[in-house]
Parts: sequence; structure tokens; C-alpha cells
Amino acid sequence: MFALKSVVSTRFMSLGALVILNLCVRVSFGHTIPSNAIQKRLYEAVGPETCQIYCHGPLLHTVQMAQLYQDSKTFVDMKLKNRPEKTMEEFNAFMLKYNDTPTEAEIRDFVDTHFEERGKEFETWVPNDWKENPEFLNAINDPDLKQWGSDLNGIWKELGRKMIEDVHKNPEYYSIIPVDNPVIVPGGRFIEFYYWDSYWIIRGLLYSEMYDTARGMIENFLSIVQRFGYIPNGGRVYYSGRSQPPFLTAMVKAYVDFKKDYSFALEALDTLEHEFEYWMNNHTVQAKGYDVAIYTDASTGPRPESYREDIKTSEDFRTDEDKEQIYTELKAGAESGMDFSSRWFVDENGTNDGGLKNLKTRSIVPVDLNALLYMNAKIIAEFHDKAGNTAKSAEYEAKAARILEAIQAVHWNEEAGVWLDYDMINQKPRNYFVPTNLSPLYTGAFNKSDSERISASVLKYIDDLKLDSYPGGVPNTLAHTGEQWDFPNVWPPMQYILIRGLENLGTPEAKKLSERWGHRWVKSNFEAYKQTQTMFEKYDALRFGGHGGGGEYDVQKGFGWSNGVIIEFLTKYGGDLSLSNSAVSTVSKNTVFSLTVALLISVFGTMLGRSLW
Amino acid sequence: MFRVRNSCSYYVKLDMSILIICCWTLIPNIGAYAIDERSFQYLNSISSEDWKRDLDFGIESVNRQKRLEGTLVKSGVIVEKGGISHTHLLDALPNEEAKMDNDVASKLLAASLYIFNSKCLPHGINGKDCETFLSNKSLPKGSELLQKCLRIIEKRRNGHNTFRRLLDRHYQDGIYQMLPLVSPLMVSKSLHNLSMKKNLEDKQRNLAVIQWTQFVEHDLSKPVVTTMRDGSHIECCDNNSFELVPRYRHPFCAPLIIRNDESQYAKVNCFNYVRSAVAVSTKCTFGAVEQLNQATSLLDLSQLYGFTDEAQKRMRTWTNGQIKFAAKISNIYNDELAVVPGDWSNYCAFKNPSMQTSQCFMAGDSRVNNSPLTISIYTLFMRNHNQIAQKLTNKYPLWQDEDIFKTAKAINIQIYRNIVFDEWLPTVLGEDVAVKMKEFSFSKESVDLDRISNEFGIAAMRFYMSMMPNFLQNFTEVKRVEYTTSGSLPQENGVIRNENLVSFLNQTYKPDLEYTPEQIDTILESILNQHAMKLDTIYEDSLIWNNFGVNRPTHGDLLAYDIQRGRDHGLRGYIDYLKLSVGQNIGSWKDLESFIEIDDVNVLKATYSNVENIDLLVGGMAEKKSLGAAVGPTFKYILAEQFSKIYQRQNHALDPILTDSVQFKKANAVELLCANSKLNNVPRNIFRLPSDKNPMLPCNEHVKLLRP
Repeated sequence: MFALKSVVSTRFMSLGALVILNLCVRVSFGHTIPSNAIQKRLYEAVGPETCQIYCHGPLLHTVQMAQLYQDSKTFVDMKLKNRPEKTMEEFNAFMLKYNDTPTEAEIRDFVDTHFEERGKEFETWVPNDWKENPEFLNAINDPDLKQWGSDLNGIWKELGRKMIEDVHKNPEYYSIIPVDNPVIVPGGRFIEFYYWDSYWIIRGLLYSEMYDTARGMIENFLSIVQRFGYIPNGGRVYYSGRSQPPFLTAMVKAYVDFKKDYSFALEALDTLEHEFEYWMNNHTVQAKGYDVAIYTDASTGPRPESYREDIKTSEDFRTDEDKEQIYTELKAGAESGMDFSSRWFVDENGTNDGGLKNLKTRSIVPVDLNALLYMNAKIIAEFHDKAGNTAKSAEYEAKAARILEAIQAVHWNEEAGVWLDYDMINQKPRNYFVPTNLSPLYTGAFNKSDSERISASVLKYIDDLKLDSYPGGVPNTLAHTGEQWDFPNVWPPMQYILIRGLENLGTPEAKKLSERWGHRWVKSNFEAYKQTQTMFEKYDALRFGGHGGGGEYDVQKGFGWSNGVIIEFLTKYGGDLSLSNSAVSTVSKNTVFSLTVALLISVFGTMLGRSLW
Repeated sequence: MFRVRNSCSYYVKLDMSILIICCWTLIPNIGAYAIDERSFQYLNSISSEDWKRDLDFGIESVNRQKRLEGTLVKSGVIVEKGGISHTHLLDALPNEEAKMDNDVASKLLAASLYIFNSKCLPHGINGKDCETFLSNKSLPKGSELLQKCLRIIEKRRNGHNTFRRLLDRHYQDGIYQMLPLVSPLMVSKSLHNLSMKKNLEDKQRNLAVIQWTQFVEHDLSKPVVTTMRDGSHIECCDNNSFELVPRYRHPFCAPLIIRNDESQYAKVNCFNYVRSAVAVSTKCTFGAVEQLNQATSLLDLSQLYGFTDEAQKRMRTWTNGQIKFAAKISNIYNDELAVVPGDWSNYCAFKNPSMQTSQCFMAGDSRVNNSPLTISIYTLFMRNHNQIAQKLTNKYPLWQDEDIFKTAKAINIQIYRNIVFDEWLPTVLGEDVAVKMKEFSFSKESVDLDRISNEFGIAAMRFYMSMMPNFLQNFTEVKRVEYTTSGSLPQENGVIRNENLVSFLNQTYKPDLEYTPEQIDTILESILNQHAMKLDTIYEDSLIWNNFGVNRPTHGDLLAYDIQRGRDHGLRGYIDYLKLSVGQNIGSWKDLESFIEIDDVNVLKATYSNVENIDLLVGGMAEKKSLGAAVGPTFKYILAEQFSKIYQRQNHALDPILTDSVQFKKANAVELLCANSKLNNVPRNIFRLPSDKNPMLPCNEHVKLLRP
């Protein structure tokens, strides 16, 4: 079908390599990894050990299939009472005792005696750099919006998590991946750090002037790259094998832009290069003769945190090989961050019809991933330039140029007037709306001299799809499948990419639309907050102030990236935005008189009309 | 708060309370409720192209649900035959016409909600202002939806109108979104705790009160569920009655859910509830749609004959004016209801698909199979129709089938109506109200006259559920002797004689008794002799489900279901209706004590965070009962308001050319029962237990009028 440069080969890797690379995943970074990039740490060797509990194996299977909890993630977040191997011994004895068919109550009893409740790895932590009145609040004129900004700033205190000392001493008792610095988590069921979520959280923290917390989170990620070679989806061993859209380089860039201090970037440069090479070496395939990146996965079995769900999805597949394929597609979907979406469905006819069974994530070349890698290469080139490494800078400029060329050739679609994902099975572009179709605008992966033409084309695309008509933001797709990354759900990071992208495009029309969407997003989020005092992970395109639904779990509250995006937009638009003058803002003063007359006529007209009924 | 649109009121002193019956006339909303001027200006400045575009966009967005529905059907997330959801579905099963009406109205709703979300809310215009404006804004000329809407209004069938409202709708967004109140299952659970210390039986009334109330309800009110576009029935819970994964939740789902405990293993129990179907109201404007009432708003036995012409055609034999029946013996008064030919899943909820029973009965309304109570009363009126038809055939040998059918139907309805107004209503409302109620007159052109109120159909008329017992006891003469000699009724001994008892739960849409003529007589005897349960907030065990946990429930919770439906239909809180009926403001829990016993007030207080949140059904049932009536002042008001409208409208509707009808005017419930069964004796007032004051009358003196 297509060749994965090294993921395929990892299956044949030696045991020695596993020990070096640790975690329970078989991932190879090949010869391109600079040897100095990997600094071994004390607890690095624990991965495989805890993985027999949390990533795969009979215990995980037995407990997860018993469906003890409303949310499958609950179990894999629980702390062990004994060491993994002792737990496994006792589990084997338990299975023997009950003839391999324990009842639900017996399994529950086993879990009670061998695990502690979830969340034991954290202690309450109020960020010590938290500020009551960060500067961004002064940029907001409307008093209600200002109060809201202040509330959101306050929520950082609730989302702070610090690992207890025992996690570092006895990591094999936990599924959490130990990191040195405390973090801000998304919230709800997501009680650990998540890779791409953290980009918007960190931006929000920077606006809230919590530089230490932001830097600490970035340093955690850098250390994870150094230890594991890449950043897993989230901060749990069971997420290993899959990453998320690569935003680490952009995090560093955001930090240095705020602090106006490049020294941090230069320290991180090796590691950023390392992560970039990880993606280029493990995620690239050939499409239309170009090297392009795809989302994929390097582990085996169902997603541990949604184990039963994935087993159920795989029921229609007969062979173990086919089941393994669908597990990989599911996990690749998780790596894309859009788990799940009709974006990744390819049915027999080459359309996006069908359901999870039709997941073909690895066969779709995604616009956003390639656009992001372009941006990463550009930023790394910029950092090298700052460091005075002219040769290195030129090398990364060249890499960026190659990626841009591929984006132009594989993704840009003249007919649609926008970039499109590419279906490698049917060798054709996928003309379905996803906000990521516009992501090159955000990452700058387009020819700036062509802005006028691109702008006209992209705005027509937006107009044809009536994307400006949704009161609750731009939906993630136009297919109402019930999956959470589909219609009518609206996701904060996607609004951010759209709004920043249109702004980046730079034409007056695009900037106007960008601002309108930005205002709408702030107001709609505020309406939801006003009604519920809650920030949601996702919203509803059809409802002004309505939250999202669908997918595998109920809508989560908190919420990291939502707060981050709004804090940035409040800063950006706070000077112009007002809630009170909304009704008249669209009616010019000149028309007030004629409208009053019209009002009177209409009132009488309506009354007359009604009494004639 | 809310606006009472009465222009002229009659104040009549009726025992404890004042019954105010209003004239419901057309007062322009915009005149009664002025919307904010700036809001009006903004909305009025929207161009007609914009309205058209918005309408199309709203419709487009609702059409996207088809893909989700495809997935749900493919994944088997639909109502399972024989399950709990199926039983509840049969109480609210839509017919094809209802589905078509709902299809148009749901598009209108989607468009209105779209405008509310894209135009009103972002401009700070609240739901009420927005709705007021929208409900005066005609649909764009030339739009397909306008054509469809006008067609529905022009050719409005007798049934399939919308429910009307006594008070303004009560929704979170002012238009459609249900309020996030305490779980109805939690309400049901805490109300049941009261059952320990209560006297549970009604000492005077028998099961006939329940039976007739349910029968009249079937005639007047039938809210039905929304279905998928392909007709599949929406299921909102998984097949173990736990909450469904979000990806499978249909947008019209509003399941009853309750977390069974606080432990980490807590699961969320779930009963299916699907939002009621909607219909376009009285005019083709934007704005909130109203819930559809599939039943006709007249006392016309449409539950027997069918709500639509199509349904009625299916009920007829086309010879001698008869309606379908299954003859066992030669006498018409021993006939049985016809059984459903072919697929019974629209009438019965048998678990086993192979159980092609001979006892899933057919009538105008699928609710005929709800219980032995319903089956027996539908049987009585079927027999009565056919006996009258036979009588007419004998008398007028030259009449065609059509003439006989029409005349027999008219006479059957007249007898039924007389019993409802002269015998059943006095038992429910008290003699005095039942008489006074007939004296009011309404302006004839009122659009409200031909619609049933939500408050009536969804809450007040459901009072009988609380009077339902768990079991039907056997009161045939042989058994009565047994009880007398043993000195007490079977369950008072603590001995439950299974052979004497029929569990209503087991029979709900699963009729498996041998419905022989003798069986029908046995059931009728029981109905006349068994006391009803007290009308209070306590439902019998078999009607509710309080046993939450990891076990799969065996039946649903009718109280919770009805509470949820009240919220779905946007009923206001109980105290608003109490104010409407007795004119008193309730500001605190203390104020309630004049209307509700202190024990009940305390339970309500522990259940509802706020006195304003008490559901109408719950508050209405908890009320101290008015003297001589089965219900308290609030339900009395709601029932009287509705029946006085029906009375007036049907008085005019009565066909004067039916000379034959005159002789049947004196037919009463005793005649009906005696002539259409083999009962030996029937109490003079069939709604009260036999006693010295309510002596048994010998049937052989009361059969001549109706039998051929």
C-alpha cells in the first residue's frame, strides 16, 4: 500500500534497542537522532514494567471488559498497591481460582484489593507564579468580559497538578509519566498533561504572566523528548506509541516571543530538532512522489483507556491481523487529536461515509500535520539563525521548502480553492470540510506573494460552504455522525487556527472575517459561561453558547485550551468588544428614525393582521 | 412572570376554591407583551432575503441528522421489541400522519432555533422577546415550508392539532430547551418514601374511575414521540438500561437518568424518553412550535373508531354498519375485539416474537392493549356500536352500511358523552362543578376551542395513574363468597392467592389472559367492586422503578416518565397553576401548607430545591382534595376548563337530524354495562363501590334499550 519509513521495521528491533528506548512501545528513531540528545534518567527503565498492567495483557483485558466504570479511562489511571510483577502473580492466581471466568463482583473485589482510586499521584498545587491582576485584563473594556477574564485567570489555580514525591521514587506503581515540573491540565477526565492541548494552555499562561509554570511545562516536554524520543499523546504510559499534532516547537517560540529572550530557544534547539526528525523519520510516506507526513501509531492492541470500546469496534473484523489494523487506525486517529471524525473515514466508494469501522487514518495525508512540520522547520531555522548557525539554518530552510513544495503539490486544490487532505487508497483529494483545510494559512505554509489570489479563493470556499452562518463557531466537519470531531461540534483549537490563519493571510477581507469570527467565538463562549459558569472542551456550531456532545465520553469541563484561546482573544479584541451595544451595532444611526416609523406601522399592521385571523 | 390572556372571566364560588374560567380569545401577543424596542428594530431590519436564507439554513442543518440516524439504525440503537422502551412507546406511538406533521414542524423549529441562536441571542435579545417577534413573522413567501405549512392548516384533520397552553411555555431558552431540574427518577424515588405512613386506599371509588378516566384520556389526548426520518423509533439508553455512549444519542433524546450511588462503580441508570412530536400551530409563522396531539379534541370515541379516516376505514366491516369484532357466541354482547392481523408490534410489546398471540387487540388507538381495564372498556363500546347497528339494521332494512355505521357511531358517542358528563365528571370534579361547568359559554371563533390543553393532557388527566393498584382482584360471586367466609380480602390475610389476581404490570401491552366473554365479565366485576388507590403522590410499586443498581430494571417508571413529559412540553411549575386556579401567590414552602399536607410539603421540600420547581403533576396530585371531588383545586380547574370547552363545542356539534338519538338520551352507564355483558347486577353509580347508598341494580331490567 504505502511504505512507512521505519515504523514497519520497528517490529523487528532487538531487545537491546527496547531497553534504550524504554516505554512499552517499539519505536525507532534510527540513525538520525543526535546521540547527545538522549539523557538517561533514573526512572526511565520502568516503562515496560508498568505496561504489563496499564498498556496490554490479561489483567487489563479482564478488568476493562468487565466494564466496572462508566468511563473506561478510570481503571488505567488507578495506582497499584503492590509492584507490577507481584500484582500480575496475584492476578494469575486469581484467574486460576475462578477458572478464568471471574464474575463482575469478583473482578471488582480484585481491583479494590490491588488498586487505589484514581488521582492518587497528584497533590493540590496552586501555581506560585499566579497573579491576581495580569496585564491582559486591562486591555478589556467591557466590565462583564473583564470579570470573565479574571475568572478564567482564576481557573488556572484549579487546573494545576503537581506529582507527589512517591511518583518519582516508585514510578512503577503508577501509570503517570513522571515529570519534574507541575503542570496545568485540560480538566474533567483529563487529569494529566496532553500534548497539543498544552500549546493553548501555555499561550494562556503567558498572557496570565505565569512564565514559570509555562516554562516548566515546556521543560517537561523537552525532557520527555530527551527520554523517549517523542512526546506521547498524554502523560500516561498507556499513551505511548502515539503522539499528537507537534506543537512543542511552537510552544518554545511562544515563550521566547513573550519573554523576548532567545536563550531558552537555543538551549532547547537540539531537542526540537530531535522531535522534528522523529516525525520526519517515523511518520512519512510517499504521495504523488513527495515525502509527506501522516498520523500513525507504533503500539499493539486496543487503546488501553478505551479498551472495551475498541474491542467492540473490532468485532466485525475476523482475523487478528485485521483487528490489529483497526486498532492502529483508531490510535492513529487519537494521534491526530481528532478522535474521532468522518475526516478519517474512507468507505468502499472512497467517500467519508460509514463509521469507526471505516477508519483509514494512516491512508490520509493530513493538511495540518504537514503544515505544522513546515512551521516547525521554519522556527528551528530561525532559532539556528539567532544562534549564528548559518549552515543549520539553511538546512532547515531547505527542509521547510521541501515540505512547502509537497503541500502545494499534494494538498492545494485549485478546483476547491483550498488545501485538502489526500486519500492515498483512492489516489484522490478528499473534498470534505475540516478547519485544518485552512491550516497552511496559520502555519504560513503558503506563498505570501500569492496572498490576494489565495484570499479570494479561500473566501469563496468559506462562502460556498456557508461557514460564516454558524452562531456557535465553525463546525469541525459538515457530517453529523455522532463522533465528537464532527458536525455540529466546534473545537477551540480549530477556531484559533482559522482565526489566526485568516489574519495571517493579510488581505482586508480575510482580516475582517477573522475578526468577526474572533468576536463571535468570544461572545458565544461567554454566553455559555454566563449560563453555566463553565468552560467546555467543545461547543456547538448551531447554538450560541451551547456546548458540544457526541463521541465516547460526555462533554468535559474546565477547560485548558478553551480558556487559553479565550484569554488570548480577550486580550486581542478586548478593546473593541462590548456585550451591551450588540443590538444597535448593526443598525446605523441614520436609520433609527425610519425604523421607528417602520416599527409603529408594523406593530399596528401585526395587530390588525392578527385580529383578522 | 407570565401573562393570563383572559379578557372576560367568570368567577364562580366552588367549595374551597374559586374556579375561574376564562375566555380564551385572540389577543395579539405583541399587544399584550411589548418586546424591547431596540430588539424589535434590529429584528425588523433583517431583509427578506435573509429570512429566506435563514430558513433554508435551519432546514439544512436538521437534514444533516439523517446521517446520524443512518448510523443509529445500522448500529441497532433503536427501540427493541418487547423491551421496556417498547412498552412506553406504545403509549405514545405516532401514526404516519403525525410523522408527516412533525416533519414540517421540526424544520420550522430548527429554523426558528437557528434564528434565535444567530440573530437574537448574539444581540442580547432574550428568548421571550425573540419568540414573540418570530411568532408574528410569516414564513417567506414562496418557500416550500410555507406551502407545506398552509396545506396542513387548511386541511387540518380533526385530530393532529397541537396542544394549547393555559400559561406561557417554560423552557430554558424560552423556545424549546428543557430546564435542567432534579431528575424525575429522583422525584419518583423520594415521593415513594412517603408510602410507609399513608392510608393508601380510596374508600369510595372503584376501578371504574380509573378505567373511564383512561378511556376519556385516550379519546382526547395523545402526545406521541418523535421518530427518525425513516420511521425507526429512537432509543436513548443502552440495552441494559444504562446511559448510552454520547455518539449514539439522538438530538431528540431526553432520557430519564439517575446515578445509582456515589461509589466509584456508580453507573448511570437510564430509561428511554424521546421528545414529543411537534406540529405547526394555528398560523404559518416562525416561532416556537407546539407539541402535537394525535387524538381528536372531541368526545367522539376516536380511540375506538380511529383518529383519522384511514384508521376508521381499517376498523369497519363494511356490512350492516358494524365495526370489526371477533365473534365467539351468537350474541353481539359476547363479541370480542378483533385481533391485530399480522405484525403486532404497533399494538403489543410481547418479548417473544414467535408469540403470535390471538390476543393482541385492534382499535382506533394502539393504547387499547394497555391493560385489562382498557381492553374491557374498548370491548364494551365496540359491542355497543354493533348492537345499535344491528338494531338500526332491523329497524331500517333499506339503509346502506354507510348510513347505519354513521348513525350507530353517533348514538354510541352520545351515550358515551352522557356518561362522561353526567356520571364520570361528577365523581371526579364533584357534583356542583360538573353542573356549573356546563353553563359557561365561549366565543365561538376561539382557536383554542378545538384544542386540548397541555396542562390537561400531560398533567391533570394523568391523575388516575396514582389510583392504579398493582393487581386486579377476582370478585366473581364465587370468590366473593370465599372472601366473606374467610372474613377478609386475600391480601389482608397476608396470603396472596395468585389464581385470584392479575398483575397489571404483566399485562401492560402483553395481554395474555384468555379474553373470553366470561373473562371480560370477571374483569368488569372486579372493576366495579375493587377500591381504587388514593389519589396522592404515591404510585404503586409496579408503576415505578426505585430499585436502581447494577441489575437490569424489569419495568419503567411511569411517574418519572410523566414528569419528564411535562417538562418536555414546557409546562410551568405547579405554583403558577395553583395561582391560576385559586388566585393565590405562593412565595414560600410555608404558603403551600394550606393546599398540601405538611408531610407532603416536607417531602417536596427535600426533593425540589425551590418551591417554583415543583412539577405540575406532582403538586396537583399532592393537593388536599376538594370536597366531593377526586382531585384538588388545581387539577379541578384544569379539568373543568377543558371539559367546559368540550361541552360547549359538542353541544353545537350534535347532529339534530338523528331522530333516533332521542330515545338513547336516557341511556346511562348501568344500561351500557348491562346490555354489553352478562353481568347480573351493576351498582347504580358505577364509579363508586357498592354500598347501602349505592345499591346494586339487576341487569335484566336495563338491557332493553340497547340490545337489538
